[in-house]
Amino acid sequence: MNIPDRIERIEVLPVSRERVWDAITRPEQLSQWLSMVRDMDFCVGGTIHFTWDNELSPYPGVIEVIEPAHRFTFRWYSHAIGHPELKLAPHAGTLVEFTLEEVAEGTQLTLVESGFASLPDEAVAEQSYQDNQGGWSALLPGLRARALGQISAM
Amino acid sequence: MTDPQTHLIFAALADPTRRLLFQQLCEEGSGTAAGFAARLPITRQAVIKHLLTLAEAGLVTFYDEGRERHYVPQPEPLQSVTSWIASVESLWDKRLAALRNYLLDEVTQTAPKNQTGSNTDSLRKGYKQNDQKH
Repeated sequence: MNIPDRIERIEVLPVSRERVWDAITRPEQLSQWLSMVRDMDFCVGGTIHFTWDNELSPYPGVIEVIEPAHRFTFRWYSHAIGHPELKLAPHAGTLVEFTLEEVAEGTQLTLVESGFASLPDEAVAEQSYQDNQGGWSALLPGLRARALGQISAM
Repeated sequence: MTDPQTHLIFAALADPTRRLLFQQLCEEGSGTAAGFAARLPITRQAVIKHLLTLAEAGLVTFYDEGRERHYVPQPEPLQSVTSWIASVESLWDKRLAALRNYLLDEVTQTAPKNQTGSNTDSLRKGYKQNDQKH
């Protein structure tokens, strides 16, 4: 049984590390391929502003690591955006890490998005439970049938 | 998240103790709170609280037999999690393909004077008009 917690992708790009670095850290370039990026304050702890559905997202990302031409990491809340009713932010963040490595063919870019299984929030689970009270009544008839079946099998 | 149920599943499995309980339930087919508490360094009350959280996420169900409550795993909801993760992977595949195209377009462009228009486009802040939340 596998509980997925991360996504990893590796791309070898036939350009220099510096070129890839620019493409992933300069907002005007980043927005060419990660189209929701609007602007960013490029420093550790700096915010990244995103545009969702043509509006500025209320959940900016936060830059965590900058190692020039080597590693760029930020936390974002892209998965919270679609469901404001779940009150996920600021807890439902996932970490996006880009790592660059020079290889014979150019630059190896490794992308990891992680933290899916660690979205911590007992309060949110509680909220959803309250909203899903009906689910318990649906469970009970099935449970009764199973319990009666078990007892008669003894 | 695509739906509240998927989020409940993630929240339920966020806790390592709950992950362990769920894993053991899957391996053994069923279990009781007393049984788990006897084997693990947590109280029976804590086990019950964890199992209820798993039940709220649809990952566990239970039945009563005399005075004992037996918990049974329901791994099927994990399917929705696996599908959701797959959809996020697919998003990243699209983004990385767009990055590759962007970089290779730059590499193959040979006439600098024709680039004025496209440079203005790429400097324009924000998002493409046909944005699909890539």
